[in-house]
Parts: sequence; structure tokens; C-alpha cells
Amino acid sequence: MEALHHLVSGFSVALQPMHLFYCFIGVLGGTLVGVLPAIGPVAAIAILLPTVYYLEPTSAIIMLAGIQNGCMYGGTITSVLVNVPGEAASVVTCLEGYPMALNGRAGAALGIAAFGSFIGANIGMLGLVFFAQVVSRLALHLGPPEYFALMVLSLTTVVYVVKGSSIKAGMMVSLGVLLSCVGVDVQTSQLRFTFNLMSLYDGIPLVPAVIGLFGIKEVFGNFEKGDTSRGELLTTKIQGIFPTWQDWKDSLMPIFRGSFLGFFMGVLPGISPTIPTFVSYGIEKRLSKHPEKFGKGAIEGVAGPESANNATVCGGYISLFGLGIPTTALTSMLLAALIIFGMSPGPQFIEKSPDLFWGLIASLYVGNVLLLMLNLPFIPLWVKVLRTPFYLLNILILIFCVIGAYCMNGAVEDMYMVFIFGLVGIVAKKLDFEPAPLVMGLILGPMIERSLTQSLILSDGSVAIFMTRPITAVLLVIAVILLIFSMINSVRGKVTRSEA
Amino acid sequence: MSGDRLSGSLGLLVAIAVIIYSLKLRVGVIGAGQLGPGTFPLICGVCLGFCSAMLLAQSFRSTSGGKAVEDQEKKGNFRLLVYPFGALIIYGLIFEWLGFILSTFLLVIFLFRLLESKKWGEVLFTAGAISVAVYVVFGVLLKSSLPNGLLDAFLR
Repeated sequence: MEALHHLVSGFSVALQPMHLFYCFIGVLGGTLVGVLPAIGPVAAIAILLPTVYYLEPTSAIIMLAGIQNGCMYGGTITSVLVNVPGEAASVVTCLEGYPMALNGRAGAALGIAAFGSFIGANIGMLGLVFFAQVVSRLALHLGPPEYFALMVLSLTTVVYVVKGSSIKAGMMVSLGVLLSCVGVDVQTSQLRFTFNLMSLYDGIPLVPAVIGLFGIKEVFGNFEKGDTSRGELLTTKIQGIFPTWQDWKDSLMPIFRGSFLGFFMGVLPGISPTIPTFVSYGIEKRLSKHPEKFGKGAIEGVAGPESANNATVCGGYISLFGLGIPTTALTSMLLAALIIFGMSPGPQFIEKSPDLFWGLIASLYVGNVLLLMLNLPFIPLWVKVLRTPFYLLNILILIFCVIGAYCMNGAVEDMYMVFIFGLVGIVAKKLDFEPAPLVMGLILGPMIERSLTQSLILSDGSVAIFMTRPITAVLLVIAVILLIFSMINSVRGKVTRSEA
Repeated sequence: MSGDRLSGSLGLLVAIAVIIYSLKLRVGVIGAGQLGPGTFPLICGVCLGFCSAMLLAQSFRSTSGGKAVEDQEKKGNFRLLVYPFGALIIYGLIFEWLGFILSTFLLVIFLFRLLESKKWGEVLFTAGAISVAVYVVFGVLLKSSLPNGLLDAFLR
């Protein structure tokens, strides 16, 4: 009941014209980012961060969250129409969405994706409303050892679920945590890994690193590949965006399954919206009475994953706002924004800044309604956007990346930081490394070190504290098991591949 | 040398350097309740070293020839990586001196000529339009602090 009361007051925040405006800008911008294959939501938010300084915090967060939301919708459009996923969470949608479009059912695919997303986001938000408070109350009882274990678990989950080699992901996570050690050690104020460079005293800044690893890497990849990435743009007229009765019958259960799956996977640490989409697709394929239809345009294969990715985004907010731990690169960007405004989310965040939290939730809801209204009628417009000349688009994004880095502090050093991380990203891509684990390590590194130090102070230096506290012990054991499994999988996978 | 072997050795080198460096910082004794500034980096270094060693070991076990062919293909457009990146570094050097508009103008001209050999007139026009438009959006409307550089007298 209390939550309901807060939610109402949240709506009064979200429906203020100013916030409504920024929500609109956010979802519109997010859809654009989702449609354009050259840039994903993480890089987009990183680039925009410096420009939100002069906004009021609530407006800024609402806008940035809108971008995430919009992106999940936008990515679908290109998946269905062009067979090019606008961002990673829509890769699965290509599998069924594009064949549907080839069968002349592009409208139905986009329609069910939009409605599925809407329902998914709604279920996710309901979950968020009720669980965020519960989690933040529970979190008050958690001490540094539990936080330590939770964050270690986050990192091991990232290693476990990453696409490709887990060993490589392990390397990236270690490297990320190492990079987070650069600068002044908070506990002893001793300099570490600074090599007498003034610009490293404050540590490696997150935003330029993200812009480099995600933005620059992507743009240079496109430069190198050339203008081949776009598939055949479907020129058929899109009609019948309202799903038929039969479509609803086929999709309703997948939508609900996808939503719940997505939400609960989103709550787990380290799960990005991409993973639940694959899981949902797999489940639908297995449960289907006509598995042979999959791959040829089965509407369930669009409905499930599309609901799942939106619900996952909501699930991810729980650990961010309830515990103050960002578990994906995306939520860590929101954390970066909150830090810009001098706020640090944690167990007390919801109680201390009710306006912001409930305003955000309500505006997520408003954003979804806006998206549903905006998306379907404007699809032709987004298709036009896709026709932006390829090189022009990439050069523009490159410039945005540079501006985003420079404007943080008005320092050219940050620009060079972007270039360096861009180079790291490019090389990593060549060698089949994923950038996300590195970013996670970079973000969680300082928090892990702090909680480790605090735990050992609590226990007078005894490591036994991690085994005697039940929650900590369970979390750490899960982490170790995940780690062992992922290493075994990684080694085995490699051997079979090379034998084949 | 395959990519995995390269990255494995590189990671191992970095890990060894990190371990030596963090041992030089005070490591402290975990059991005695004192964490030195070197403890945490040391742990990370060990993790990195462990993973790198595993990758390296794996790369020696599997000797597939498929990778090399792929590398050949990837080398094809290497020019399109190196030149734009060089341009970016120069861009960084001249950014504050020339100012955003002029340096971006030059960068865009270079990139367009390199990537898409359009006519000069078209390139000059696009580059001018992009640099001014982005300046107006970010510098004027969004109030970001972009350097004016040589054009300072006109833009103030």
C-alpha cells in the first residue's frame, strides 16, 4: 500500500511538463540509438553524460533511463526490417522477425514486439516497485562482507555468461579491476600505478573508458568493414501492425514467460539484457508445438525475447537502487550520472530521495506508453533514418565520442584516454575479447576493495569472516562454483572446436 | 603466432609486471588485519596471470590452422584503421589550438577523402556543415565548453 502511495506521488513528478519533455527526448533519442547499428546504449549514455550537468537531477536521470528503454524498442525495428540488430539485445529478434518480414508479416512482428515490450516493461516495473523496497530494507542488514561477496559474484557471473571464452572474460575482468587500482589508494593515500603522470592521480575515469571501449571501437570497426553491414532494406509497405487474434493467442504466453524470466534474470548480478533474450528464445522453441516453424518466422520467437529484454532492464534497477551495485555496463552508466549529481545509491537511497526514485519509476511507465504510441506510427520515419549515409553517420558518432570525452572536464587528456581505450577496444575485438567485463571490473573494483578492507577491519584481519557469515559464505561458494564451471566449459569448448 | 597465444603472453607479461610492482608497494599481511596498498593489486595480478597462463596453455594445445586465414582477411583493410587513428591523435594535438570548428573541419575532410572518395566541393561542404552544426548543438544549445581556438574573436 505504501508503495502505491509513493507511486502516485511519483506520477505527479513524472507528469510535470518539464520531466515529460525530457522523458520524451530520452525515449526518442533511445529509439534512434537503437535503430542505428553504429552505436549502442552504453556508449550513447556515456557520450551524453557531460551534457546533463546543467539539467536538474531528476530530469537527467529520467532522460537517461528513457534512452535505455527506447533503445530496446529501436533495436527491434532494424532486426525485423533489415536483419541487422541495432543493439545486442535484439540479435535474437532477427532469427524470427526477419523471416516474418520476408513473409510479408513485418507489421505483425513489429506490432507484437512493441506490445510484448510494453507488457514486459510493465511486469518488470511492478516487480521493481515491490522488490526494490524489500531489497533495500534487507540491504540494511548486510555488512561489508556480504557486499564483498555479492560483488565478487557479480564479476564471476559476468565471466560465466559472457559470449565466447570465459578465460578471456576472466582476463578482462582482472584487467578492469587492476585499472581501477590506478591512482591514489583511498585507505593509505599512497599512489599506485600512476607512473608520475598527473592525469592518473585521480584514477582511470570511467566515462572516457566506456566511450573508447564501446563507441570508438564500434566506429572503427565500421570504417574497416566498409559499407557492407546493411542488409537489404525491405521496401514493402508495412501494414497490419495490430496483431490478429491468432497472433495474440500464440504470443500471450511467451510474452508472460519472457517477462518473468527477464525480470528475474535482471535481478541477478551481471546479467545484461542480451542473455535473457537467448534463454527466452530457447524456451519458446522447446515448448512450441510446432518447433519446425522456428527459423521461418514464428511469432513466439519474437514475442518472448522482446518482452524479456525490457523486463530485464527493470530488474537491473533493483540492485542499482536497492543495493547501490550496478550489475551491468548499462546500469553503471546510470550510477555514473547519479554520482555526477553527488548522489550515491545504496540501501537508504529510496528513502532519502523518494522524488527521484519514484519519479523515475513513474517516468519509466510514461516512457513505455510514449514508446507504444510513438513507435508504431513512426516506423517509416525510423526506416528513413536507417538510410543515413553510412560514413557520415560513423563520422558524426566519432565526433560525438570526442565531444563527450572532452566536455567532462574540458581536458584534452580525457580525449586521449578515449583514444587509448578505443585502441584497446579495437585490439580486443581483433583478439576476440569482450569489452563489457573490463568495464564491470573497472566499476566494481574500488567498491570490492573497500568492502574487502572494511570486512578485514571488522574481523581484525581474519579471513574466516567470509566463511562464518552465512550469506557471505553461500554467495562466495556460488561464485567459486560458477568460476570452476566456466573455466571447465571454456577449456572443453576450445578442445572440441579445434578437433572438429 | 595465433591471436590467443599473443594475448596470453601479453597478459602474462602484464601480470608479472603488476605482481612485482604491487610487491614493492606495501602488501601487508592479510592475517594480521593490515591490508597494504599492494594487496588488492597483487590479488588481481595473480588472477590475470592465472587466466593468461590458461589461455596460453590452451593455445598450445590446439593447433588449428583456421585462424591464420582469418587474420589474412582481416589485414585487408588495415589501412582504414591506422589512418583514421593517426588522424585522431593529430586531432587531439590541434584541438585546443585550432578550436573545435576548425580542427573538426579538417578531420572530417580527411576521413571523407579517405573512406569515401567524394568530390572536393561536396566534401568541403559536408565538413563545414557538420562542424558548424555540431558546434551549434553542443556548444551553444547544450552549453558544453568546446574550445574556440583561433576563431575565438568571432565566436565570443
